[in-house]
Amino acid sequence: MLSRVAENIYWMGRYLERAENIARLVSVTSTLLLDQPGVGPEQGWRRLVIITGCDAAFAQTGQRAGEEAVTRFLLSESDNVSSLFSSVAYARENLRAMRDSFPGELWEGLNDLSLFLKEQGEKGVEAAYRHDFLGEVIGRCQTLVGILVGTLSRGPAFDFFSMGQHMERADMCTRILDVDVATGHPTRGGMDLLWLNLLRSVSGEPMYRRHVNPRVNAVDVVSFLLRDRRFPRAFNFCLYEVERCLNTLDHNALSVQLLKRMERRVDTQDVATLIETGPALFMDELQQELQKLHRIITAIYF
Amino acid sequence: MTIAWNEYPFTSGHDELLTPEYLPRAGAEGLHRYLTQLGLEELQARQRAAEDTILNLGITFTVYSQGDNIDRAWPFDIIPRLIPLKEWTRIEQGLIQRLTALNLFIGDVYGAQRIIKEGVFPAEVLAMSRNFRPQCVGIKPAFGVWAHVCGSDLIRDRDGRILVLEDNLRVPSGVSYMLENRLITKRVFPELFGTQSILPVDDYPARLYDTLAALAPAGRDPPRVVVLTPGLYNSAYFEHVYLAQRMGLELVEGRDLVVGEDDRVFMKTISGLQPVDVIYRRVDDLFLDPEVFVSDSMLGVPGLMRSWRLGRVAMVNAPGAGVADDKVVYAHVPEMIRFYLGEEPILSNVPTWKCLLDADRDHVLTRLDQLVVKPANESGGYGMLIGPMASRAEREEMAARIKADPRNYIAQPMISLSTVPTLTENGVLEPRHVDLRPFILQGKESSVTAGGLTRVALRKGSLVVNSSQGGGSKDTWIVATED
Repeated sequence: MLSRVAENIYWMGRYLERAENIARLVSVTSTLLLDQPGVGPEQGWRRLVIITGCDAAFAQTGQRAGEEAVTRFLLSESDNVSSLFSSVAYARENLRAMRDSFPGELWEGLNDLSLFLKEQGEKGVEAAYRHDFLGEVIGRCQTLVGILVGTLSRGPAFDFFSMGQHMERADMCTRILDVDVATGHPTRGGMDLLWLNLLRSVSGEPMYRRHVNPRVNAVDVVSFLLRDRRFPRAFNFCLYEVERCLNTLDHNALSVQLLKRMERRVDTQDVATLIETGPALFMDELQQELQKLHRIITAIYF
Repeated sequence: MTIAWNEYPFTSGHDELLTPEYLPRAGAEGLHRYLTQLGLEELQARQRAAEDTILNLGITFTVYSQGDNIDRAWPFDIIPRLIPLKEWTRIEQGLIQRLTALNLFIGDVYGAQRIIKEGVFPAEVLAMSRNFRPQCVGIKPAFGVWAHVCGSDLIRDRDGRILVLEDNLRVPSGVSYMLENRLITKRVFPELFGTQSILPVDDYPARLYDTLAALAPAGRDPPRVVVLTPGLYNSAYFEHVYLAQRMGLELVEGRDLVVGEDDRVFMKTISGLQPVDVIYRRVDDLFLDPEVFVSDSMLGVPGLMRSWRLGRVAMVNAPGAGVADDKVVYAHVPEMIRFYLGEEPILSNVPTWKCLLDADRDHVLTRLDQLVVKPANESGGYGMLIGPMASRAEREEMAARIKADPRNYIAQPMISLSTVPTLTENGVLEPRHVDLRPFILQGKESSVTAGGLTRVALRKGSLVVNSSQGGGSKDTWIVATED
């Protein structure tokens, strides 16, 4: 497979995943804020800007981090390279040059989604329509991934897609944990909601309750999201999938070695201490390791 | 509703389906009978079905422009254009004869230049050629072939004679439309394929692959062949994708290729660098190699020309082949055929006066109001004079230019294109003008597509068949007839 094509597929995977994650984050935050009359909404919306790594870009707009400004910036702003709109546009650009090598529904679906965002993106800003709008976006993203999983022959194309998707998912996992755990100072009563929010942002509530603990508590939730071996949005699960993909490729020694080190690091981290001392340093470390892995993949395969 | 053949509004051109007596031409009886039986309403329904099919397939047929892509409703007319096999066989021979001579000419021009030394081809014409590449002098490509893929444009004059209008030897396109047209026609008129013996066209990708593979320099089996495209924004990009897929080859861009220290060409893959033996390039000469040609070209591969000159990689068409794709060179093709092959040309050129000859020039200058004058080195109609439509001032200006630089001009009579019945927007059959672009492959062996791409000027009276200017296309049938 041509390096250029592999790189396009990898980025398509990343951008599709990023689009879905942004939609999830905005959706869950909106719901959560309704349940937290005590928490200043500013804090909640600011949190989103930080999670997505856009605080610097947002600051440049000179706006206050209110509901309307943040949702517009994250969902429909074409000047924001990390917005939902831009992520879908980039995914489409990546697919465009190689669309004939994929099932036609993929291009049609991605094209439709891009048009949908262009025409109806403003609905994500209006609180009354937001829930349905984001539900539709998430559903469409999942449909696109479903088309690929359901029709793409297993081989390099699929593996590079999956690698991109899971690298992005792992990255987003660290960001959610970073901000949520850091801002969630233990108080009575309200805390459970915060952990629940964390679980819901990755659609992980039923899996957690069934496989880990019917009750929600900090240590179990954070452990679940970091190192559950069965939940597809857990950090280490993502690393296993990236490792599986790399194992099908040549010249993988360096990257697999790094992955194994990260997996071990996560498995042996004491979660109670992490919550007590604040996760910022640890999550920073994981994000940097992911970036290192991305650089290795880029250097060797693209 | 029956078809009122006896009200068919003939133009001054030769109609390919009907004789002036409103009867089907030889070989077209079956098609004529079939169309008559179907009737206009059914034809209209099938035209709509064809358009639906195109929309469904149309995902692949897209006009790309910067930033956005416009899905184009690809104009196609369902009434096929038909040529009897007997006539076609002769055309085929003529096309191969022509390309053989052109390839000998290109090799000669970059070699001993015998044709110039013996006074058959004027040295001045070569000296002013914009497509002559000094970097190609002395190179001897495999089988002596430079232009492996040629798209020649044919027209039929008032007397029904086939004439060659031009030979496209650089990166001719359109063959994918030919293949898609057939696919659609098979869906629209399945009954006809049962009763007529229509020559298939579908083997083109396989033949192209064989032509390419036979050029591989080293003994790798199978050789690694790639299609080189300028990329997404090229108007023929879909064809590049289409051909690469049909041949099962990688579609690469310049940035996917590198020339190694051993002067071999490699493509960058996820398993490292893979050697490349043959490049079917759809990139113009001047953008192939920034070390040699346009230095800021992003489309090319630094060192590619060096690799080709050393014979480490084959390129199709070979760089420099365009030297024979020039209006003044065209005028000399009949002499080339006599000179290199010792044969009479099977196919004629459109009558062409070369202004560098005194007698021709006098003829042209006294008849500027009847002729079309074309400069040698412009394309796209630039600098052309259409005498009957030009003003007196324009004609006088052209006369002055011809006198100042006679070698740069040729003149031809106003061309009358033949017509084929075409379903109009009003749902009736009317004559519309057509040309034909067959594709000729030459390498170890030579072959010609069975027919080619028929382009049709969909606007009434128009002679412009280009798709950008209201042109469409038709399926072309080479039909075997019982004698």
